[in-house]
Amino acid sequence: MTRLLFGALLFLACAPRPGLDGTDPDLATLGSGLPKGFLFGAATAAHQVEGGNVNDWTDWENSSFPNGTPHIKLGEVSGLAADSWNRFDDDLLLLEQLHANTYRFSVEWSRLEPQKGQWNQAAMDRYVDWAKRLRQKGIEPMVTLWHFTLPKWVRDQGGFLEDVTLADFEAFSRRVAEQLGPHVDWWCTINEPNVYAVKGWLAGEWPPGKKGETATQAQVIANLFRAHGRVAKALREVDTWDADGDGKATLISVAHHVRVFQPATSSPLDTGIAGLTDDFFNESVPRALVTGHIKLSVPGTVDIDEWTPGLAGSIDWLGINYYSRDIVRADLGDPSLSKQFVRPGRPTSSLGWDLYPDGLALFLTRFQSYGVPMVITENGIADADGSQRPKFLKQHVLALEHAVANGANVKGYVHWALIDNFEWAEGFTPRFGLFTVDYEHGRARTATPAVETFRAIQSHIPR
Amino acid sequence: MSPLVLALLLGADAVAAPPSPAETERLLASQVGVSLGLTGSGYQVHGSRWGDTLFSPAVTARGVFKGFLVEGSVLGAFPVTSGGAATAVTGLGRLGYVGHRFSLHVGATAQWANASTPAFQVLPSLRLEGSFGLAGLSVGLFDFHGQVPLHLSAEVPTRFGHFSLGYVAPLGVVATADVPLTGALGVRAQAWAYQLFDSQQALFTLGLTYGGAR
Repeated sequence: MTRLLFGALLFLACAPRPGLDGTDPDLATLGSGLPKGFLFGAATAAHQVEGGNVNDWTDWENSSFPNGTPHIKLGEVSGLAADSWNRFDDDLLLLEQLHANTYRFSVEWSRLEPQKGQWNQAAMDRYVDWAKRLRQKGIEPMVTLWHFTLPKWVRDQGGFLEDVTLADFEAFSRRVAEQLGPHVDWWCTINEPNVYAVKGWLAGEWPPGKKGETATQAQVIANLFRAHGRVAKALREVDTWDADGDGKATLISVAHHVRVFQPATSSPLDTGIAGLTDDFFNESVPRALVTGHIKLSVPGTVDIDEWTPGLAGSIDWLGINYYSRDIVRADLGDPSLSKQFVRPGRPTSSLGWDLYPDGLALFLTRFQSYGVPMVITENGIADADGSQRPKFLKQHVLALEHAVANGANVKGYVHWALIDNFEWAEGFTPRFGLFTVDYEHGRARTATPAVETFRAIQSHIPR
Repeated sequence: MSPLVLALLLGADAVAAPPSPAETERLLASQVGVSLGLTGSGYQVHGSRWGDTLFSPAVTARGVFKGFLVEGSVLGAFPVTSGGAATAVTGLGRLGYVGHRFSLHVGATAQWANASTPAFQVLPSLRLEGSFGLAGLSVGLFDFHGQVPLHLSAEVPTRFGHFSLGYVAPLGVVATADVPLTGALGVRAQAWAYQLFDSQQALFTLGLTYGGAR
């Protein structure tokens, strides 16, 4: 009834929005509103930058949809990508050039465990070396254990739909924690469980390429939650080294992709479907990881409602990947129950995503009720020539400052990405890097204009 | 000619001529109305909510001819602030039958929304109303301009006017008060608030009706 009364009060009190649309924040003091010790850095993921990986995506990239269209735009394959596997020295210099104090990267499961139980120690040693050298440079390593790609043997056994994979992922994570633990405190177990499931089982754009399998999609998400719970427990058992001396050996989360789902109109169907989508996509993740309550429901299709032992309290912080907003128009004939679009006239990235910095402030304000600190683990823009990124960065840091001023406990901001990357089904065309990569000429890295913006903001953050 | 336009024309014509005694004995009579209101809509999330406030004028018309019912309405939704829900107009058209103790209304609503894909959204709209002596019951699906998903309401005629109070599924209330002023002129106040999934809608309108009190 309380919630109903809230509804009635919608007349009087709508959700406050910071109103950053169209603003070009002053860079002179931007960053000074962030808390002391704030982590401000950049991110990559193994398969998107390392190059030379052999996993389920390798096969996906080399195959096509039934109508003959390549799975990846322009028929591209990740191939050598930015060759970061062999150019960590270069990438470390870029981080130093940025004055970044954190770097989020992922370890590649298929590289470390190419066959079940067979470990590539040389590859592990290289990741350990990366973490050590980052720390030596005063850059906090933030390690993602799983960022979308599966070893082929894991794919062949059914991936995250099968319980055996949960056990295998836990074993893999234990092994990584044993080796990287002395140098790493910040762990991201799983990247974007909701996006992985939607792309793979609803949209059919990523492996395994299933379309409209709403119930299976929910099962995958639930299993990823369960996997996270097991891995969080394992990390706390294995990684007992306090690498940065702050009294905590592990700081664990997932990186949760959130999107603003805004009803197209006030019609009951548009608002209802927007609310349903929001709960499934945005709310289910922190609810499960903070309270242990896995609740994934689409009326008439799937209703997972369980309390999972060991899941409550499995995160020490909440990682938030924020990019954009979708306007939701109900369409009951669509597997997602809606058409999602960007309003005409809106500023967009080169991928056509709505640039909506207010959304970041809204989520940071909203999720503070879960009582765990938050880190923006991804935020960035596909920007063909780098001209939009400085303003994008300024607007989103200002949104972040608004949220902090309103009481949000935010510990860090990690920009996606340090360098241009292989953007999954979109291939190499979208340019997300603070440093652009010249794929035609030796994969040289060149600073985009946002590097100066990033450095200026970093210089204003209280020490 | 669309059912909506037909309904409006027939409704107006019916009001122009006083209803016959036989027509007044039926549960409902011909009527037109105008109203102004505010809609609040949005969705509830953990610790926060997304909300829009919209100005909502409406016109309604109902014609009853020897029991045959034609009714229609147009509801506007004009956002008070920018950046939220789009301007939308919802038209409702229903046909049916009005007896002495019951009425049946069957039709659809079509909503046009500015800058939206798709621009049109069509939903069924149903209403069944019955009178049982001192009180009555009504049940509706996407009733009240297509805005209330499912309701069950009690109808109570009094000497001060006609009042109804209902339950909106899964959680909500809807209330209407029709108070006669002079002759065929009356005041109608209507409000609802409900939650559907994680979304909420609340509306309050105040308007005038002309024609049969019910």
